[in-house]
Amino acid sequence: MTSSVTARLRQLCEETLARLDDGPERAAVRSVHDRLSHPLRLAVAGPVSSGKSTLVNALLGQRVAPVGAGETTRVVTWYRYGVEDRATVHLRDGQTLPLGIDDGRLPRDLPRRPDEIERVVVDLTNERLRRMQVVDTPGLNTTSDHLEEASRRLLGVGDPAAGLAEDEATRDAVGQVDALVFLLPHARARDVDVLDAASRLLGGTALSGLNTVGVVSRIDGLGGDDEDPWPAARRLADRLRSQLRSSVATIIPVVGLLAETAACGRFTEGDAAAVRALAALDEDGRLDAFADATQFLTSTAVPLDDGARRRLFDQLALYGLSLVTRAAGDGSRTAAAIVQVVEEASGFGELLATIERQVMARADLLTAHAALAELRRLSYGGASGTSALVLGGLRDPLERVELDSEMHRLRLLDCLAQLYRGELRFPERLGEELERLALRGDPAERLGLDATAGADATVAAAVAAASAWVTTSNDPRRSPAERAAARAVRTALELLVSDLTAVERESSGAS
Amino acid sequence: MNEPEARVVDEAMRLANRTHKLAAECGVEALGRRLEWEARRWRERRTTVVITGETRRGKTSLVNALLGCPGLLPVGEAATTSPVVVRHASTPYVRVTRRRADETVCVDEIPRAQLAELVTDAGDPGVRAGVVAVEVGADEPLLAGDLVLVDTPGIGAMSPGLRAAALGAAAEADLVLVVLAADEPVLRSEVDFLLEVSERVDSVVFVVNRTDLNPDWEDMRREHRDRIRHAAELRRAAGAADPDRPPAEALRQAERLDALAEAPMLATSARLALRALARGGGASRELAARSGIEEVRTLLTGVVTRRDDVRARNVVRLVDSVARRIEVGQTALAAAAAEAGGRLPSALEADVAALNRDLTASARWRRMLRVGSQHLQSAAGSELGRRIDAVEVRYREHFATLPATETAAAAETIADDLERSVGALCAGLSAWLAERAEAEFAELRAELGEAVALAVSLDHDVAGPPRSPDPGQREGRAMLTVEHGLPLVTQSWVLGNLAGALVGVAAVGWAVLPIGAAVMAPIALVRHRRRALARSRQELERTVRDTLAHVRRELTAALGTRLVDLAADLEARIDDVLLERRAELDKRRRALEALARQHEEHRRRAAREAAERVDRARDIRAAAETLRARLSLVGGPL
Repeated sequence: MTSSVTARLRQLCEETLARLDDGPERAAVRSVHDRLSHPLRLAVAGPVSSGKSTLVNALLGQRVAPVGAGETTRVVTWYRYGVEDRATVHLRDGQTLPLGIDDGRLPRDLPRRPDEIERVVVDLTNERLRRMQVVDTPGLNTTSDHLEEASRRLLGVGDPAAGLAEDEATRDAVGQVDALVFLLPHARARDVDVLDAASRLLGGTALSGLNTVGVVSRIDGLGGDDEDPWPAARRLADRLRSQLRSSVATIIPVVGLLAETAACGRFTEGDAAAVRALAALDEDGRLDAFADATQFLTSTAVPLDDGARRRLFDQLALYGLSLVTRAAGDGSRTAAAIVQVVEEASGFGELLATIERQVMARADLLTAHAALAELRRLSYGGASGTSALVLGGLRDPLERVELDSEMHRLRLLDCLAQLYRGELRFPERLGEELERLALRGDPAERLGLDATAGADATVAAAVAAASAWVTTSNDPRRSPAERAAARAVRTALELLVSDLTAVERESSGAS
Repeated sequence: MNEPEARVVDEAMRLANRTHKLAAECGVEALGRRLEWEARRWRERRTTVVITGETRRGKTSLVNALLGCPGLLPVGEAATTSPVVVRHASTPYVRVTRRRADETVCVDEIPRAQLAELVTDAGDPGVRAGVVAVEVGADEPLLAGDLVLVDTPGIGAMSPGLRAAALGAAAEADLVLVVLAADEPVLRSEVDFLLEVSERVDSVVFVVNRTDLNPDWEDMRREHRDRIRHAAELRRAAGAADPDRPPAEALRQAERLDALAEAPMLATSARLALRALARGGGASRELAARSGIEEVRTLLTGVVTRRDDVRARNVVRLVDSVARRIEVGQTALAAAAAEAGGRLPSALEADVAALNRDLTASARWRRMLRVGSQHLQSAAGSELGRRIDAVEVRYREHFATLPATETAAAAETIADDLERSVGALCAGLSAWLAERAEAEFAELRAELGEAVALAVSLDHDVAGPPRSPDPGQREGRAMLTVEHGLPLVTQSWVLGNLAGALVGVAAVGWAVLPIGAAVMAPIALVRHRRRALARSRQELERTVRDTLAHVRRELTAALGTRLVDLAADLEARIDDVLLERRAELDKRRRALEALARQHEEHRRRAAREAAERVDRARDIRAAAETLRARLSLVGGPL
């Protein structure tokens, strides 16, 4: 549903800008326009050593963030689109320092202590960043306190142990990102606590459980020896999804390292030749070679020189190595074919699709929501002269946008967030209906029907569903919030019916 | 167990047997029974090792690898949800303790295949509901020395009650293995847990597992140490900066972390070890060697040996004391037999003088007893308060971060959780009480000790050793220990042992804090009301507060009675000691007088026999002395 609403609002802004003279009003409309156009800001957060930077590299398609087994990201790092590659260190005292990008990679060591640095901003000539800015964060649950503090500030989360810091400044900070990818390597209580605290605090803001995607990283350890870890990973994700329904839109398993290797185009034909050499080993030789990391890097049974081993290990780790070796045996022998195998096994495609489908679309709607409110304020504002006339002329088109059923979806998302926070106590059946209506795309699916159901059946289902919500909205035993939510659902159903019948009228009119 | 130590321990047992035989010949069966009792205790007491650490560190795999038994405990994607006790059994079994809906507890043997759905989150939560404890018996050589391994859920996945129980078990353990990962630096949650553990136990050893995944695991091990040291520094700095917290506490924490940073860190790969088992052949030996599991095994057998060593020392000390009693008695007998009849031997006169001294001392003993128990009473009261407050704070924190949608789930488990917390609290308090009592009455015990040793040589059963618990009862106690989720092995024994140390026997019964009475009623109520609790966090908080208040009242009352009982018991023992000594003298006098009336030839034979027994007693004592020297040589630190 990338949104026709956003496009309409942006167009409205552009038309208005063309007719406005310079002045505060014009600047205000311009900033609304910019906000509607700025690329999505996606933060990647999670516990220390959960593979955040690896995933950031994969998202960028460029190995720019330093990665390693220890704690590598020590400051909040913003990746933006820019006309040339450069990085700037912003210190807490307001100063900025340039930072060299060596061979397309950020240096591991920073010029100042991490607690003196507010953030590092990296501009890259990377097309992907035109649509989406990416923010890398220091790990949570770390033993170095100030690092964690930086991430928490960015996400607007108080330390659960110290209670939530729900002050205005924190809420402002939340505005810094539009969506969150949260890594849950093993889903420990503390990680889940942070996630929960985040979603509770961020309920009303742009960031909520609805545009947070959970990622189960480190799934490669889940399978037993030489077993495919994916079935286990999917079961784990399912379990976490039901457990964390209130905190994340969904949970997706990803093998971060493989995603990075596939996305960053580092795998060469030379590497492919090395993989083929490994594939030529007999069963025993392979067992020996892949027994453990040290063995792979040192054993004489491995027919590769030290540099080639290290390269392969750094790109694939043990799971990836046995995967591509097997694939090479089955015919995937060129670099391109191997990269494809790696990409499929990484689960990264699903993550990208999810970010696109769920997070970006909703972030769009939320941005539209904010823009709508701002434009409405301007249209009733105390401007004078032609400005007042131009701005006043916005009221009608804005009303039409607001009546758009897609805009109403926002209201449903609000209700859903309330439901997740436990503020609404609907029977399970109603809760599920609300969830479907708010989150599904296809009208039939929104009503719990099969996507192939016809318009008539869908309308009938909507009408049938509406009666329960009408009853709820008039039930004096329900709380005001619950009654308001029921009214919103009823309206949504009505809008759905009217959309469907309008479509029907149009198609019957055409024939 | 390595060679020389095994021999020393065996020799201690042989020496005990010789002494036992001699005691029987001399007609002092009570002494023999005391030896029997000590030997039985040796057999009964187990070495407990608790394996703990964060989620997905491979704790369960490590247990399987240590036992060389892949698939003994369920491993894989699912996380362990309840502690599993693994102990030696010639016939393998899996036994689960469950609470039924009507509050009764039942124990069932189940097929091993069912284990996974009971102790991991792989299965239906409904099947797991009510599982209190799981015990696995395995016929593995490593366990044969009565080693008990306890696998625990990851600390991040534990509820407050489970956490309390795990810490309680750690406190009872002979060794705590904290499992860290070789591919992930130590986390703050792990450091926090380490602090809690180190508050209770001294013997922590780290295992850095999953070395197979990181070729640079040596670096990671170094980083683990650095991070623990760094955490210590942070606490030291916080202690200096934070006016609200007493700096002493922060400094103590920093010191404990510093000590932990120096604790042994063994590197292992459970996966490699298990793979070696699966493969067999020459390559497997090499894999096994690289897995590092053997080092951990050596460590564990070392702990068992060390414990055996301590017990062997006790036996040797007892052997010496019994032999000395026999030597004194038989010397007097020989002297009396050698002397012309009618006159009391000089040995008896010395005894009478000692008895008079004791009578004077008894007033002082009673005073020490009174003062000591008053101290203990007030200290125990405030300690109880402190501990209950700590439990309450933990639950408050837990609820503060509980999402509203989770209250229903929390309400389901809150009763079990509270029960575990309070169980751990009682165990901890018992241990604390034992320690304090030990310190409080140290002087009294030192003075009584000599008298007690004399009392033991009496030939009647006033203060004899307790009857050995029959097998059924023993089973019952084992049950009690697992009922609270973890083997609080010495829970019912801590104070019992203290009393034993005080009066030379185990005064069974008075020492155990009555967990059942104090906790069962309010907790059963909580269980009953759980539907109502599901409504809100406030409701949950209030319930915890009320329940803990109830527990506080009950335990305060129980503590009071127990301490009064303790004082009364000790007072009675003091009286007994004096009475027994008088009775002993009477008896010996009668024996000597009877001897004096015998014929010359009889007397000479008796004297010869007595002299020969004195020689044997002296032999035993000399052997005991050598053994003791050897034991102190081998029984160094790890």
